[in-house]
Amino acid sequence: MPEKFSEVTLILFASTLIILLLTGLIVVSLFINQKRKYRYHREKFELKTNFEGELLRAHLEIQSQAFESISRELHDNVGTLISIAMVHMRSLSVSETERDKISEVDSLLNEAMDSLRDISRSINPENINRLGWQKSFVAELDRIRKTNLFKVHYSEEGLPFTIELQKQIILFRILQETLNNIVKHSGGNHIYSHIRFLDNLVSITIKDDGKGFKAHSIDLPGEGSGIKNMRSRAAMLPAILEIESEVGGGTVVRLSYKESTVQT
Amino acid sequence: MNTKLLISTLPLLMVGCAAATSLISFRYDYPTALRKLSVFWVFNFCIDLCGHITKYFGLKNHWLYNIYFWLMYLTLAYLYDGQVKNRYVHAGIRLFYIAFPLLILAESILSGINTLQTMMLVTGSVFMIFLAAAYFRQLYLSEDNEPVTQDPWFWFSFGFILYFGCTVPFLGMFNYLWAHYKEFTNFYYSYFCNSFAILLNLLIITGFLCQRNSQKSR
Repeated sequence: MPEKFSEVTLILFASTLIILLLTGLIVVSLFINQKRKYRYHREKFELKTNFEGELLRAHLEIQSQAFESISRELHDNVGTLISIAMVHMRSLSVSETERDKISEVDSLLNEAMDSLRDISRSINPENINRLGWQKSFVAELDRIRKTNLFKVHYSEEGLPFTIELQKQIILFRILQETLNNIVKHSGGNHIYSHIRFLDNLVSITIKDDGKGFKAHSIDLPGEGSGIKNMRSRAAMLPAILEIESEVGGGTVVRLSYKESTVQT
Repeated sequence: MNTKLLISTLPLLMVGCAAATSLISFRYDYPTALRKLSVFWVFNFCIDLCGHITKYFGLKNHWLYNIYFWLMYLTLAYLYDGQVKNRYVHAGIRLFYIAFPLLILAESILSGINTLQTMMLVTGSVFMIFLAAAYFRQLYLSEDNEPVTQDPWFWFSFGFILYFGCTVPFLGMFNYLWAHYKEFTNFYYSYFCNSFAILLNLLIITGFLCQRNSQKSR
């Protein structure tokens, strides 16, 4: 560079340096902003998840209270009325020909009373607390067996462990919803259920031999709200819920839950 | 091959590498804008190759680089029109499309086509910096949570700001410097302008490759 260092070269180098610095500044600020944006989105997502969890918890609590109240009403009010009706009926003096009819009505009322008691027990969360989710589930299967609509098969393996009470109710409600769906929609003849305990993991499989459904039909708006509730509840535990189904091939529901603090 | 020739050939090699890399946009499912940029970069390489050949034979090639820059500014403005979602920028691009050819025409009449058209270079470069800055502003204000490093246009804009920003003071004064400080002009062009050109092409390569990486990670 034989020319002497002039103002022109100074301007040239200085302007290049300034532009380099400015570009660096812009890019760095863009990265900082990106980082801030990422943090903001993460916080927003966490807040949303927490809010949804709280909302679901409140929803379950309200539902639980409603169930408890209905269960009490069924037991104390409707049950008492049926009992009084039975007592009154038995005290009637009737002729020999009407005795058969009275006896038939009596057995129908007895059956209604049993069903009422079963339903009352099934929906009462206190019962789930008292019996535990597993026995409540078996009782639910028995209730279905009594209807003679399905042949119910039940098996279990492993050593059961204690699950937090609130979570037991959620677990049981998922299983109850599964059984309700089978009774209402499957049109099958058999229900196979299997519970497997392994360390602190419990896997429950419920299978039917019904008509099944297209897997994507539960994703349609307004369709399969029961299944959506099951999924929300599973997410609350958190548990893994898998539903496999094909038209004409029955449905398999698998629920796996891992308890963090295990007491056997 | 002497050092001077090697230094002047390096940017050409980098343009070639960038053009070759950009061709992956046709192999994979890349957006159309990237494919168009790829075509332009291949064309860019061809012109630069012609420039080097004419220079090698001692022919004045400023007319070739005039054409090269006309097309570069017009093509980049067209591509940024699809990237920047701002009506003022769109209006600015439309205005540029009217004013820039008029400027080219005026400068071609006034100083001819064989001299490097510095007015055109300054106007075009400043407008490219404006477009790249507008794209950065868009990224800054965007609600999108995608990392900017996975956005090819971030890398391209970064390259354009660096290249045009750092070469515009020199290219603006090119004719004056060439007339008064020929050796310094040669020195600055060989070491500085070429370095920025290499940097630009590296960022172009990064942009095309980051698009592929983001597609893979999806």
